[in-house]
Amino acid sequence: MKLRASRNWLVLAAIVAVVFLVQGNFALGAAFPTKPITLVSSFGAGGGTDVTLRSLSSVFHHHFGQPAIVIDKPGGASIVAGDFLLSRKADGYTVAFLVPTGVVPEVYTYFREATYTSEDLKPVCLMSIVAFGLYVKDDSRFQTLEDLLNYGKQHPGKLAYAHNGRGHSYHLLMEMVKDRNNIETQDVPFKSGADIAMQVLGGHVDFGLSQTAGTVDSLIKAKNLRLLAVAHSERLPVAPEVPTFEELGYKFRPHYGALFVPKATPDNIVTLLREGLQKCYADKSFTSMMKRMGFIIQYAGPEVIEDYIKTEKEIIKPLLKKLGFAK
Amino acid sequence: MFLAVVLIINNMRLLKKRSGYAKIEESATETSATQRGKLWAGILVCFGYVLLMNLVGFLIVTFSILVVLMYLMGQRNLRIIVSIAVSFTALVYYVFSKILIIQLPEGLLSF
Amino acid sequence: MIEHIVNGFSLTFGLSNLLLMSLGMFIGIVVGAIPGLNSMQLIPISIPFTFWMKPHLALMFLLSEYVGSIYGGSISAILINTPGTPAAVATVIDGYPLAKQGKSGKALKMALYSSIFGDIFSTCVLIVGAVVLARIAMKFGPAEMAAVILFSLTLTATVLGKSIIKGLIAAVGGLILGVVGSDPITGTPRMMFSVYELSQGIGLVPVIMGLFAVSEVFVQLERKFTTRKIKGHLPESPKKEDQRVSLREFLSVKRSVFLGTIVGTFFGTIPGVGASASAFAAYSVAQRTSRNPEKFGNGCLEGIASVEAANNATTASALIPFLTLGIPGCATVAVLAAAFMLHGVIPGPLIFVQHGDVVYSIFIGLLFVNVLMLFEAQLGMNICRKIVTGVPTGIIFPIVFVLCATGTYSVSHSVVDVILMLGFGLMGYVMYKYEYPAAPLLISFILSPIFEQAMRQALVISHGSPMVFFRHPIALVFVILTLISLVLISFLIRR
Repeated sequence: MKLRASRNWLVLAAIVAVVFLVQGNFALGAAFPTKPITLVSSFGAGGGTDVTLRSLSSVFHHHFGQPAIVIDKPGGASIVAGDFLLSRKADGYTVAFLVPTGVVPEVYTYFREATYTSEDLKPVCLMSIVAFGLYVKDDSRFQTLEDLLNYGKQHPGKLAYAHNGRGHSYHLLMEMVKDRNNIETQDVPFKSGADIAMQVLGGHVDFGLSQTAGTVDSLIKAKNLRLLAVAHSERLPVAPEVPTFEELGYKFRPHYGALFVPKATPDNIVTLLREGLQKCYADKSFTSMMKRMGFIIQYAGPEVIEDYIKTEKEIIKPLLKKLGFAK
Repeated sequence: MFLAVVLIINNMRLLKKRSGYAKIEESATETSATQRGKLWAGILVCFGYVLLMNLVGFLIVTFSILVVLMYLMGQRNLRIIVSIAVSFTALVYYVFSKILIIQLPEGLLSF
Repeated sequence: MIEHIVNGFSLTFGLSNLLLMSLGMFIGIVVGAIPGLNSMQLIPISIPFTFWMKPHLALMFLLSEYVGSIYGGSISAILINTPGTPAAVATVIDGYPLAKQGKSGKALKMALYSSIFGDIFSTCVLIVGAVVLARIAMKFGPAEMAAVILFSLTLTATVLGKSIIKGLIAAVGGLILGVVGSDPITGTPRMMFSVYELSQGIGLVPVIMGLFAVSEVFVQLERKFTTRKIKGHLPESPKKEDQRVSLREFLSVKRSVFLGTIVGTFFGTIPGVGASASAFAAYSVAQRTSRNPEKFGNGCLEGIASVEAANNATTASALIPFLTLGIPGCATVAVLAAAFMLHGVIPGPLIFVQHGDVVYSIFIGLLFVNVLMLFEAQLGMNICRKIVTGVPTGIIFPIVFVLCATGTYSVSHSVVDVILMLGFGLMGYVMYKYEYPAAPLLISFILSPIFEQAMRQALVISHGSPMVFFRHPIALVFVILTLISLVLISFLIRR
């Protein structure tokens, strides 16, 4: 008697289990995507990347029919995210947002061990161009970049600046500037752009380099920070009198973020991803969110990214060698 | 590095012998051979749970571990064990994968 | 500015806002109470739900979830020795022992009242002094941070417990664990054993879940279970006053509450420290200045009061650098930053000008939310107590285990973290058996990476000269405090 009752319970339980498992997951032969897509953010919660991807995920459903989930895999200047991406199935359901150091890790081996190379990745499309700038506190004696560099030449080793990690774009650009002008400065790595802004505001370092969108933008507007130079293709609306590094003669590659999948992902799926993402980028609610925060979103196909990768290998690598950042 | 670990373990053993040995007997309440056995079984099962998760899948291992742990902790009523194991596994799965949208390892049951 | 305040009032007390605040608070408490889930998972997934809401509604909703989850964490800390949120980790020290004495209601209510006090106080500080405090917070550069954290590290001495050697071993163990990860300046991997997931260091969640929750599961596994009558693991004292906190009792711990609040507010304003570290700091400050320091750790009300006041105070004051400068003080606030930006409210100095009414409605809302918490938390704690004391241990703890494992996995999507959690569970079990205190380990584990990074940054800036700590006045103050503290401790220990 007791045994039979237990068996009934088991059967009931099994039915409940199957019902739960089965609901919404049968999609034999249906078109991609049939389940949610995972977007891997290479920087932590609340940062620019994370926010951008979450905004993207809010319009994802409209254009893909499936929602997007954002997970954060910070570390190693997006190498951890790249590593994670390559550990997943190459079925198009995991897409990672990587920045240059994680796209071509083989160029940056001086700074961190590369567990993969750009050959293992397949670019989907470009996502953002990150404009960043060099800024000082409002009461700083430096009015232009030239002032800063002159001071640096006359007082070697006195200046200290904040950036977000050795081997990242901000650090590399500054090292290039230092090398060109033959000055010595102390570079101090911090964890995030907000940290950098804070250190400059507090007068703990003489200047800093970080992304201008968001917090820094509002601090510049409030005249707490003074922008001295911008690393971008054009001047920023918030400070149109400030020249770009390129205008001043420093050519560097843009700090960009792009979406990637593992190389083995089938081409037809990648094409579907591209089409859908293009629609997402054009989506009005997405663009208005990005505009409000000052992020620059740009769609560009894989050829542009391949181009960047080429630049990385052909121009940046020798530059790094010259600066002493190559093994 | 390895030496450091060896040194630490050795020192801890010495410390234990000198100061804490008697204390252990009294602080381990009601410990008998069966209790120890249950504890080790439990620990092994927990490790097995994690290590097998990617292989076998979240649902199977979670169900199994709930059954085993409940049994080890004194539950003997099969009805309760199974129904709780099933419903809780389903609940956690539902909350985490549908509401929080976190992909739990699929293992054998990929669909 | 006046019209901002007036508008703020009307925004706060609008019906939809009140409803959303109540809902958010309730969800927050529930999620906080569930081990393995906390605001770090709740808020990111709540954000999409807020897209259609007006900014002040969305932000207040998320903030209510945040505040609620900080309290919710203490419910499970007290009832099952498992902090539901990292911020509640110090609550288990006195909360669980008190619950084991049958006075779970008292513990829970003490936690609630202290939390409310800490929250209201630091919100007032936020409202009145935000701009001024932010300016002071800005003065904390690497040298100052290093000095403050060094001072806090000396506080571990007070929580060493009965056996000093064991406490020190635990503290050193925590230091070693804090080393794992990439070097903060050069990025060199340290003790990572080629496991890339560890490049940011061992996560706080696996450590806390393992050290407290999983180890408790192992401890419970060893108990003798009578098959005839399955009881819960917590006795229930039938005396009514054991489940309540009288006004006199609350006033008797007012010193701890106040100290906890001050410490919490202070550490919240400085970005980078976090609620768990400040809770521990409050604990040791309260213990050191208490009339009955030996009672701490055995279910002492002061222990609960100081800790809970501190962790709630931190949550409100963490908004100070965030709202005024746009710099998030801790990870959860960083996620809230994303929410702010998504709704077009850019945090920073211009926020008072551009969105003054939203800011004031948030201020007022943060105060009012405590009223809501008073009622909703009572409901929540009664439900939880009934569950914990009614449902047999043999069912609760397996469920707790699964929740912890799943929750830990959901934080970083890596099985490595869950394996670490198990490892720490074993370690926690061993520590329990051999009576090694967990508190020193945790404190040094949390604080040492912050200290190391700050100190090395300070030294980089000063070209390696340690004089940097003496040249900066604030840093110097804390260095002196550290020395005083060390001297005092050596006297105490000798006694």
